Amino acid sequence: MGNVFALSDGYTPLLYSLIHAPATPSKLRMSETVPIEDASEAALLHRVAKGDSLAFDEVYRRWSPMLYGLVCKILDDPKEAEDALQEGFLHIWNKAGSYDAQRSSPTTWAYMIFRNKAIDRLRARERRGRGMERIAVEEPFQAAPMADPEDGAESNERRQVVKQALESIPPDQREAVSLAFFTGLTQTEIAERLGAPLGTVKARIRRGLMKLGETLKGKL
Amino acid sequence: MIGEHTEEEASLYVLGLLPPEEKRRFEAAMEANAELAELVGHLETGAAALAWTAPPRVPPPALRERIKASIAAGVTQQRTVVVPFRGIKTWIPWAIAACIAIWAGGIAFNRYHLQLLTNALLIREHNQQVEIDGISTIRNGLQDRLNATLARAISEGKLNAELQTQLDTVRGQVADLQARNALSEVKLATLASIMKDNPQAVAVVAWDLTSQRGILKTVNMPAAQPDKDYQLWIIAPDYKEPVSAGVFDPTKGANFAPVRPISKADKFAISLEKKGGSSAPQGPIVLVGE
Repeated sequence: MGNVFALSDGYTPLLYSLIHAPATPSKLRMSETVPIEDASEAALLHRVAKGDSLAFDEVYRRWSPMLYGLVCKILDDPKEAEDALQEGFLHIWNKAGSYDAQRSSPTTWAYMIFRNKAIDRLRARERRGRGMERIAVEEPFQAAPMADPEDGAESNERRQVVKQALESIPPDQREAVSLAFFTGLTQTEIAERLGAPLGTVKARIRRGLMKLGETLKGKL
Repeated sequence: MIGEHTEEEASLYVLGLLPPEEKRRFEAAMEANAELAELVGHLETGAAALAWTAPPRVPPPALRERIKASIAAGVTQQRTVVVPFRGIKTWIPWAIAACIAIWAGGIAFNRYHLQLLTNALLIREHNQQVEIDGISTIRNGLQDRLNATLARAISEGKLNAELQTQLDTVRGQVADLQARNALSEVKLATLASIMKDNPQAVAVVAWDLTSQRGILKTVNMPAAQPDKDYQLWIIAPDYKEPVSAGVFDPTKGANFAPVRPISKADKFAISLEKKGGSSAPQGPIVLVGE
């Protein structure tokens, strides 16, 4: 459903005058003529940066299942996962303008924000003495249906691409990268857990991320 | 040309594995080196691949509203400086919010700021709910009187002086309620017709800011065509566009709740929309008021 006022109706200017006196329909932004459901993720972020709450709703609708899944996996605690999701979406609302399309895709940008929020919470939990109760790294790919069938096809396609990319790197690199991404362990702790020298672990992480970045460039 | 050592450092940076001092140094280097920033973006794409392995999950429906409320609370909190003093019950929660804001101000929009503010507002909401429950009982009585008055007006086919008197009485009683409980933000609005062929139509809206719900009653409203629906809109300073409060049957009136949180309802309007309603007003506005 478009976010557009009809321009031909005689009563419409009255409503404009109520909201933006003395605004006229000619002040409508052209970007608003694109139905929000059809807007690209980058365009939605651009609109969110301008305070467009409809665009924010659409971003939430599209991304919340995947981002909630991520923070759940990292935190393994529903309450903390909800808090991390809330914190992340507030960040998106306030900082959407900082998204740089030259540097990464919108989903990569969002994933890294939410991952970092969740890891911060995991490390804070560690400092509070509860410990990292779940640091075992699961198999790197678990298929799961998207909540919204409308978005399922595209997301499943991306997941398939990611699965292939992950399978293309050696298991020791995949293990090191996964451990670093999901657990919030330090370099030394990762080395201890893997029973490998620190230098070797760093090299595995570098090679793994470089290869993944190369394989997935422009695909996410 | 970026060497392996820098690539390694960038990889650790992307995964948050650099110690604080090294992280600061790396970020300074990245600021001055576009090639390095590009490498970081490249590595972030690789790291985000791991995120795609997490099975998607549907967040609890209430979480979305909590997030929206947090955003709205941020807007409200920014406005606290212009809210006039309205008595002790009113300024206490605002003082709490202001204290939190002052405390948080020194931390340069620290990420805990909004969380704490939200918690304070949730506590405030809980305390208010106790008082509002009592107010609701009184308001329901007023609603019954309003229904009876409007039913009489419908039977007479016009909005007569008696109805106007009754409306004024209800308005006064709501004002009394507001005075008795300053935290209950009940607003009563009369919407006048701007239809040339039906100037007698009128609607009354009772809007409770606290519960984000309202009641709509209409008089002398013609039935909508089969392919049309009347739709109620709230014009609020929070949003550029009017916020939908839903479609309704003019013969029945409606209890309504807007699709987005409202911090202040400036005006109400009713438009004639396509069947099922629109996300933004597209049809003619038929009644408006504040």
